[in-house]
Amino acid sequence: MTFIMYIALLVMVVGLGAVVAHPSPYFGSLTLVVVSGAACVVLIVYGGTFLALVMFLVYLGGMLVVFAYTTALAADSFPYTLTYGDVMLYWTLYMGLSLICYVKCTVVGVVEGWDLFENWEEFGIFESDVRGMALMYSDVGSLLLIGGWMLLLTLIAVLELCRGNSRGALRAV
Amino acid sequence: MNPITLSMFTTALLSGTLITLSSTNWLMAWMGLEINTMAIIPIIARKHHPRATEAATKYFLIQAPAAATILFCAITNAWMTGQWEINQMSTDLPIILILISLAFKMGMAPVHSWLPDVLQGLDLMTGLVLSTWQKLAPFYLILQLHSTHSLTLILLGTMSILVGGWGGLNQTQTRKILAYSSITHMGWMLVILQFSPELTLMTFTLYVTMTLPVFMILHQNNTLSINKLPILATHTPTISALIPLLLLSLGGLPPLTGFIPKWLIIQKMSHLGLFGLATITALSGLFSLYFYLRLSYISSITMSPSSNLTTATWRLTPNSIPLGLKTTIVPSMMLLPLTPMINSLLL
Repeated sequence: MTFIMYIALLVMVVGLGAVVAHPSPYFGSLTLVVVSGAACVVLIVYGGTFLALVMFLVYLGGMLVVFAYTTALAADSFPYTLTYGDVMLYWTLYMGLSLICYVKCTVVGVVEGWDLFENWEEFGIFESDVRGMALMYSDVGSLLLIGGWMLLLTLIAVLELCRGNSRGALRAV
Repeated sequence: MNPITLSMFTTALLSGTLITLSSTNWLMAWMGLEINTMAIIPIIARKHHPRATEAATKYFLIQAPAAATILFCAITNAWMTGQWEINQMSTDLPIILILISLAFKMGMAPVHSWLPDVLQGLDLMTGLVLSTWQKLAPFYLILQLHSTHSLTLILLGTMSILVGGWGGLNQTQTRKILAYSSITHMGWMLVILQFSPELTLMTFTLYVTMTLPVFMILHQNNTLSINKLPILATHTPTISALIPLLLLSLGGLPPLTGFIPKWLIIQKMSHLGLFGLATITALSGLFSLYFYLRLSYISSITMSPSSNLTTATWRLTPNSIPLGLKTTIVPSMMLLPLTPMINSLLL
């Protein structure tokens, strides 16, 4: 488990450096997909199984893939990636900074292992995120109601902004 | 915009703020803020001209990371202390970040520069909503955090007073000047926040009272830049006689309403022995007084004692003052004698 955690965290940090370093949305979204996949693994190891599933299905599967697809269609034809000097330079800089932070933390001893998954105090059938989910459907149903209303409102706001017929969002009338 | 859609967005605008005001939990407060943002964006972009679209985009780009930071800090706080209560924050890192992101949402210095630009792209009535109602929810959250981190609050407050006055000095657009005036008033509220939250609430109430008629008058006459102010005298003589007084009231001159908050705040500070802070805030307030003074000078140069350069315009339909304007002009100038009553109501 520790090995998987190491790999996932490594992919996450390296990928986040690449997300920040890339100037083009094309490779930015691609690396964001990789980072989200690694983040799902980290969540599972920490015990948030349901949360990881939701993130994988909705965020990664639904939203981000469509985003990556549309940027691949619409963004620049010759995107810069890690093979270009500037991007590589920034990426190396971020990696160096995170390496320094890592060494600093482990040598000084701020981080002593991942407490949350190494020292299990209790073991239950229901993890905390599933418990929270159940709570949202039983005791605090109004929260769910407001959340649903908020999503509906967002949908209508997007529809209103992107209304077709010469009234598009970024179009002057 | 379709009236049904518009009514839906206005309802959401109201309910978002009310959800934030009535919640004790960071998650619900965040949801209220997000509902607020989502509801105002189509209203901002209602006119569909490029400036409005630009303003809507800028507003969204600013509000989204601010709300995300608030959520992030609330989760960090829940992780560190195990509870979600708003007024029981105890660790410094989430508190400072939340204070800064709330200031970001309200448009306070040093994270203020989006506010004049966004306000410049709106019509004045939407601008009025943006600079009063939209600030109520983050303002109330900051009000609940009044005893948390004094250095951040004082720095945000003094910098807002200074930068708000400084930035407004060279502006020629009334909407930008009003935006900078809003920044300055927010600064006054935050400076006194940790010493007396009641005074902060009173300053906010009086700021809304004073800025309401100014926005409405400028909207009624479509006065978007300074050089349209002198023309007011030929269209609406009574209002043009009142607008210098309204502006000086915003600036905080003694016989007018705007003097109450400045008076009580500086009095409170000197009672607590904070003479340095009181001096800095009073002197930085002079910057903003300068541009109010310039506005009132320009709007009064065509008034009665000086000779008329133009004849009065024809008034085929009578130019009556709307009822809302009548009721708001009076309290925005003449509340000073009622200071004891305001004191006993709010303090």
